Amino acid sequence: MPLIRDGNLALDQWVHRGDDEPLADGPTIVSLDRWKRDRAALLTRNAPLGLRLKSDQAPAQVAADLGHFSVVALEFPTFKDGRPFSYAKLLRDRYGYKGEVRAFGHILRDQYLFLDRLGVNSIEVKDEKQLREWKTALGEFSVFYQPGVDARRPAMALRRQVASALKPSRPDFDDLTRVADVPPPADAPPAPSPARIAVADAKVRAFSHKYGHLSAPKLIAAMIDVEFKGNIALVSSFGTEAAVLLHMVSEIDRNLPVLFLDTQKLFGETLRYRDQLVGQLGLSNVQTIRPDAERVKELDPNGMLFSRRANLCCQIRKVEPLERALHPYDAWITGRKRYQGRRRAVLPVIEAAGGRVKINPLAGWSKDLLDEYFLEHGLPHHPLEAEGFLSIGCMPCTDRVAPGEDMRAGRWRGQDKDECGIHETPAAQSLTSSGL
Amino acid sequence: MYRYDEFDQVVVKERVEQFRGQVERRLKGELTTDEFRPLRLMNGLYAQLHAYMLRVAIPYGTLSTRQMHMLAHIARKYDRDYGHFTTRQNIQYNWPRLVDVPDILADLASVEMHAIQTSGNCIRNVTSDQYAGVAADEIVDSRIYSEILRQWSTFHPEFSFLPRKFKIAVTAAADDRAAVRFHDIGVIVHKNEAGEIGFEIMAGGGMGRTPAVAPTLNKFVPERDLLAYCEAILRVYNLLGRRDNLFKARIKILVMSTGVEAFTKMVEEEFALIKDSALKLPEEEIARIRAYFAPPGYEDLAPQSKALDAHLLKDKAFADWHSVNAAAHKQPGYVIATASLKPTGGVPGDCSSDQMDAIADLAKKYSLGEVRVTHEQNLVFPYVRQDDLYALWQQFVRLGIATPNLDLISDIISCPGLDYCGLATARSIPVAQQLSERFADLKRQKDIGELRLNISGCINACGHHHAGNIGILGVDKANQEFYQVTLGGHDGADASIGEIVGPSFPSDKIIDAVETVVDVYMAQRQGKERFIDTYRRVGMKPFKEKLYAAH
Repeated sequence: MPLIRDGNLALDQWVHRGDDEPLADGPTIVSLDRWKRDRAALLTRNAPLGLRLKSDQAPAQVAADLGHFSVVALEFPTFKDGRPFSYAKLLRDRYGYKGEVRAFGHILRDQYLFLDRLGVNSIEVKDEKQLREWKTALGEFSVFYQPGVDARRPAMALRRQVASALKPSRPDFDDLTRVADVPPPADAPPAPSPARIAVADAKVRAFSHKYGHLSAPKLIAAMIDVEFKGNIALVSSFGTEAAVLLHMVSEIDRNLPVLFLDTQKLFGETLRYRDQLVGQLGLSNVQTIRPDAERVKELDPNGMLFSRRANLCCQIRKVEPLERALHPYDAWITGRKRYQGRRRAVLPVIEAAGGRVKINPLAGWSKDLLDEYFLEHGLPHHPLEAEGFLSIGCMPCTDRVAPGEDMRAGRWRGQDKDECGIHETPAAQSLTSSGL
Repeated sequence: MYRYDEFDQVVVKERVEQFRGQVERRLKGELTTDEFRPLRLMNGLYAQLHAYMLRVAIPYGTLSTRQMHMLAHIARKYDRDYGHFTTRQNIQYNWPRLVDVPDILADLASVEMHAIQTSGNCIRNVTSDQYAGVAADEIVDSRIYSEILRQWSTFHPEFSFLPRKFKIAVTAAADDRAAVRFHDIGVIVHKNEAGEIGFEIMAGGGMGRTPAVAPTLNKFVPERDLLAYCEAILRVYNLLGRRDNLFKARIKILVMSTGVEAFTKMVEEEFALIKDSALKLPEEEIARIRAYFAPPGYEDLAPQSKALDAHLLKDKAFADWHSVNAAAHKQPGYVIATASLKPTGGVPGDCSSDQMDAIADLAKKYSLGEVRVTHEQNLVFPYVRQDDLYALWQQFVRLGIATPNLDLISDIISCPGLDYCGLATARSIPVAQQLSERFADLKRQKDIGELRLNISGCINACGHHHAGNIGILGVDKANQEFYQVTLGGHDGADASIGEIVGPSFPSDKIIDAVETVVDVYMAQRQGKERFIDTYRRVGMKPFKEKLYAAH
């Protein structure tokens, strides 16, 4: 039977054996009854052992024996029998079981996320053709109210984090980035002063009232022409949707600094698309930002850092160069949108980050609205979009997105990562953010 | 009232999209009827006799003007121009089309509403005192804890496939208006001598075919441990509740069969193991939620309005309504007003789109933009200035929601019965309508005094007949509708379950039977004694003798 592990099809090395069937040579899962009956014999086998629990067999019965099992398989006689949910939770939380917990039997894909939250790693499914359905189900919710045994943090904890955002340490992010052990470059710009942070926060609050009613182009105009004249930049990836914001800006100020991060790992198509848009829109101040050569030589000599420590790779190729490039400005404009999902689902239009004001004029735009804008203004599409790349970053870490997946599902696929970090690190240095 | 933050908003939005996908899968035939069933039920979508029914959650019954307008809009656009407020403070739409439901949910999400867990074997919408925040007799606004429980119970990964449905009610007042002892978990907020908040927690109450008044498990669970204690109860129930027999699956059966003492011990043991986990409520989270329920900006008013007094003297009809449908407010110069959804001959709890819109407008003008749904299926205006009460009442009269019958015999709780429901064995609505006509004389009703009359169309007891002073249960006997009468049920702080009086009555005799019961009470009562007190004093005998004497 096909096995899904962490949302992907996985090779199942285990076999189930009935109580009177001969044991297999390899990893074998046996029932609780058989374990009780043949315990001594099972312990002398030279292969990993798994335990199968029926829905009326609580793990409390074998709590002391759990160390003997590499897998505990929980049976769902029907999806309505909710006991295995509690068993999974107790296995992890109460008995500290570290091996694989799998579920099998009659399970709906709509239950997958719950199981995942309770520490179930794998599920035996009936039909591997439904893999995509199962995978989609895993991402259907991004906010959770209850503490689980997974890494997802409940809303209560996130709220506390937002409330204490001024504190410099962000343990959740340090863990994810694992860049803390690499010292910052010698020429890194200094951290923003508390005063600067407070000023940016105050501006965000004031702008929310003053400009809350404006459409995206009018908001951009107000920022460029009135509030931050000569002191604001646009950061663009020249990705699949970038043309919309670039077009708006080109109609307001073609000479606005447009910062483009060339990580030196981009698709050739992206560079060509950049040149095409620059020409068509008449943008006259596009600045290509590259990583520091010394830093790359030191930390990524063979160019394979992405495969070992993607976060550190993003750090030296995107986060640090952008931080340097943004240093002269008090504000910047980004093209992020809420519909892009995950952390972006709660994106405010105006926010404060790293002592700067950050404008996300398209935060509330839907895919339909963007499509219409492309049509109406005759804008060219990124050449890779037709090939199924809906969100485009660096070549090694960008994958196609399957229909039904969220648009950023192809970014750092298979890793617990969905942002590069340029929109993350400094965000903590803000008191408030404001959704318009 | 509570406002969604970015996290709450994401949850309901994602839920809309998830359900849209599920409906698409169903319409494409990728999901069978059986597979779709639990998915739609988790979203409050039932298949009724004639059509789908969508039940929308109104957490602890609180609605803003904007939300009430949206409920009207939905009734108008997707349904037959009316909705039905229920005994669980929710609203039901009786005629939505499946293809429209995702759009209805999207409309609801736009005003911070949803249909999450209004059905299915999960933790249902948390209910509370409809006077929370304004009642003169409360310790604190019970909605603070209702909201904390609402969030914790929403998409609980462990407790979404329980043996059976699970209902929680919270009150913080001396007078229990939320019938907490008839819930799977009942919570009463207390303050100890040190002034600290804590909870008396009961479990195992309910209606249905085995009615039970919930016993108390713990008299004072500290404020920070509310979620851990509830989680302990739910875990014991999820592990040990019966799954082999639908009729024995509720937690009350588990409590009865293990015994209160043994059950409490299991819960306390589980609680001891988890109370110091991430479930412990941080003070800042309680404070965050409490801030949403801070008292509104009241005006400084004289305790007794001269304008109100003048109108009371001048207008007899207003004075009659006031003496029944207005309640004391904790803020000087304000009053709580209840609009009755029980007009003579009407369907209890039904409300038209136009009425909803008008009610929303009135709430905006006269009640700081807030309305509450009561478990007796009426609507409360919680923040009315006494000076405005006469004007508000005149508008109530115009809208047909000024029947002065709160807690009187025609303030009937009724389930939808066989007119809509696939489970019902008899009709309830026509009985409710006939009774309200029989007792239409308001002077007589007032003379009879407080008397709760509840009607259920089947043993599942959605019409709370067990808790009615007079309860009526519809049964089917060889394809004939019969009605069983129970006496002595009560859902206040001194809750009790009604006792069956004798053989059931055919539909053409039930109205007379109720009148006979009332006549016996009138003959037996001493002074101003309420029905329930007379019944408790004299017992079943005189009622039984009179009811069956002629037979």
